[in-house]
Amino acid sequence: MNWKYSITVRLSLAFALLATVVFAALGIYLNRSADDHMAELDAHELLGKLALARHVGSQAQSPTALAVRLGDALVGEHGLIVAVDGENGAIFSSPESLHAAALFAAAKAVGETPVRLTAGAREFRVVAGGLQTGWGEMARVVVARDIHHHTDFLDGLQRDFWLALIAASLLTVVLGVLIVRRGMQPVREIARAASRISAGKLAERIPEPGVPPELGELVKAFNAMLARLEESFARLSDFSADIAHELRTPLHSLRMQTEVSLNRSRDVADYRELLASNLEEYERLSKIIADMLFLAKADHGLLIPHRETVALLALCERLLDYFGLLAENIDLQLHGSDVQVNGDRLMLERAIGNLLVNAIHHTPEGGWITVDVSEQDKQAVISISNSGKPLPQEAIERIFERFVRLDPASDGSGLGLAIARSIVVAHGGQIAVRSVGHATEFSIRLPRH
Amino acid sequence: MPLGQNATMKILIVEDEAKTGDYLRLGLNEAGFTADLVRNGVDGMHEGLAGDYDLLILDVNLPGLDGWQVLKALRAAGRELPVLFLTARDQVEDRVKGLELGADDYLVKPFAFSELLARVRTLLRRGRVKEAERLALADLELDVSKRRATRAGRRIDLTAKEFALLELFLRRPGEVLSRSFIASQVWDMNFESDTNVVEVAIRRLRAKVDDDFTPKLIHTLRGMGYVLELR
Repeated sequence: MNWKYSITVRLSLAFALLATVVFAALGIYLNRSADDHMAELDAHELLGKLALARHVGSQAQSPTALAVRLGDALVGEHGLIVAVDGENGAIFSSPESLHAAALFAAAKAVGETPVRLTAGAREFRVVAGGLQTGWGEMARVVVARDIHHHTDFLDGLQRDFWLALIAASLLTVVLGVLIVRRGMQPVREIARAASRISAGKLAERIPEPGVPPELGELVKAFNAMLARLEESFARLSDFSADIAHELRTPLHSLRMQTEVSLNRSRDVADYRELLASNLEEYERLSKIIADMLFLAKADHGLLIPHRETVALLALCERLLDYFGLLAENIDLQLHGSDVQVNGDRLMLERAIGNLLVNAIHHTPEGGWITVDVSEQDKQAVISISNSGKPLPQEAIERIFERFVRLDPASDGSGLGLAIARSIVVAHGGQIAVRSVGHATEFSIRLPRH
Repeated sequence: MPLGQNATMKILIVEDEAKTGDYLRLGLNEAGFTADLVRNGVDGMHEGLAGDYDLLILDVNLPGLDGWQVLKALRAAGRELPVLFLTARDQVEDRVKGLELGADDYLVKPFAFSELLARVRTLLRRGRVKEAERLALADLELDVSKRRATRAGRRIDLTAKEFALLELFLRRPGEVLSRSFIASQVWDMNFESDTNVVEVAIRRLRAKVDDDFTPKLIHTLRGMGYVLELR
C-alpha cells in the first residue's frame, strides 16, 4: 500500500491537525479569560483598598493615627501591600514590607488604573493615588497585590492544558483511524464483490441497495461497465462459435469429397470436377472470412469510411440495374430525388446492395420492390420496400444480427444485413425494418454532412 | 493455352510463401508469360533492378526487405515497370500507401487466379494497344462505335450492359474472366455478394449470341468464370 495516498492516513492526520488547532485556540482563549478575570478581581480589590485608605486617611488627625487605624483595617490581608507616603517620608506601610520602598519608587507614574509591576523579584498589580489626610497634609498611597499565586496557577493550568492537548490529539488520531476504517468498510466490500467477478461470472453485479449514496455512482458505473463487458464477451463467444460453425460446414464437405475421390483412381474429368467443386467451397470460405473480418473491424470501431460525395439516386440506379437481373418476375421501381451524402461509395453500395438482395430473395414471384430516395429532416433516407409475408416480431428484433437467417434454406451467409448495419452505423446513420401489412420496409437514414 | 502475344512478356514474382509462389509462376507460365520467382525482398530488389521485366508482382510481407522497401528502391532507381502488389490485409492505409509509393494495382489475398491474370493483362496492355473499334471472333462481330453486334451476318439486339459484357469478352478472347472481374468491369460493382447475377447475365447473353448458333463461343469454367473462345 502506498501510505502517501492512503485515505485512512490522510483523514486521520487531518482530524488530528484539526483537533489540535481547535483545542489550542480554545486553550488560549480560556487562559486569556482566566487572566482577565483575575485582573478584574484584583482591580476591584485594589481600588477598594485605595478607597479604604483614603477614607481612613481623611479621618485621621495625625500620621500615627492614620498608621494605627489603617493597620487595623488591613488585618488579615495576605499578599496585599498598602503604603502611604507623606511629604516628609513614609507614614505607613503594611505589612512591614521590604518591597514598599521599591514599590514606591517603581509606582511613581502609576494612577488609578491597575498596572503590573515587578519590584524586588516579585510581581505585583498596583494602583496609586493622592490622599488628603485629616490633618491637612497631601499624601500618596500605593496599593499593591502580590500576584505570584495567580501566575503560578495560570502557568500550572497552561502546562496541564498542553499535556491534555497532546493526549487529545493522539486520541483523535487513534479514533480517527478507527472511524475512517469503519467508514471505508463499504469500499472494501465493493472491492471484495468486484474481485469475485471473473470472466466466467460476468453476470454478477455489486449489490446496489445498502451502498452509501456517495459510492452509489461508483457502483452504478462499475455495474454498467460489467454489463457492457458481459455483452461484448457474449458477443465474442457467439462470434467464435459462429465462425467455428460456419467454417466447419464447408470444410467438412471439402474433406468429404476429397477423401472419397482419392479413395480410388478416377478419370481426369472426375478430378476436374472435384477441383472445381473444391474451388467453389474455397471461395465460400474466403468470402465468409472476409465478411467476418469486416464485421470484426466494425465491432472495434475500425471501419472508417473513405468519404466523398455520393449521389444516392444514381448509386441506387446502378444497383437496381445490376441486381435487377435476379428479379425477372418482380416489379422493380426506383423513385425519389437526387440526394447527396458525404460517405464511402463502396461501402454504401455494399450496404444498399445487401438490402436489395435481401428484398429480392424475400419477394414472391409477381411481387414488387420499391426503392425510394428522399431527404427528411436534413437526413438522406433510402427505403427499400418489398411485398411478401409480414415479418414476425422476433425476426424484426434479430434481423440485423450476424448469421440470422430468416429462411433456413437461403444459401446466403447470413451476414449481409449485419454488414449493412455496420456500414450505416460507421456513417453515423440508422437502419430500421418494419412490416406494414403485406410489405416489409427497410430504411437507412444517413446524415448529409 | 499459351497466347503468342504474351510470349515475350517477362514477369517477376516476389513471394515468400512457397506454395503460392510456385503456383503463381506455374499459372503465369501456362498463361503464356515468362515468369520468374524469387522468395525474398533482397533478391526481389536485385532482380527487379538487374532483370529486364515487364511487370512485377510483389508481396507486401516479405522477410528481410518488405514489399514497400523494394518498391521504393525500384522507383528511386527510376524503374518504371508496372507493379501489382499483393496484400493480406484489407486495410485502406495499405492500399493508399502502396499506390502512393508508385504501385499500379493491388490484390487482397485470397484472390482468384483469374482475377490476377486479368489485372496482369490490363497492366501490360495499358497504353500499348489502341482500343480497336471493330472486334470479331469466328462469325461474331462487334462494331463498338455503331453499337452493333452481328453473328453470322444476323443482327443481334443487345441491351447496353449486354453489349458491354460482350465487348469485354471480345477484347479478352481466350482469357478466363472471373465473376467478380466481370461485375466490376461491366457494372462497376466492386463488392462480392452471394448472388449469381453474372451467371444470369451470361445466360441471357448466351441466349442471344450462342443458343441459335454453332460453334458455341462462351464457355463456363466451373468455379473460375467464363471464357470466350473458339474451341
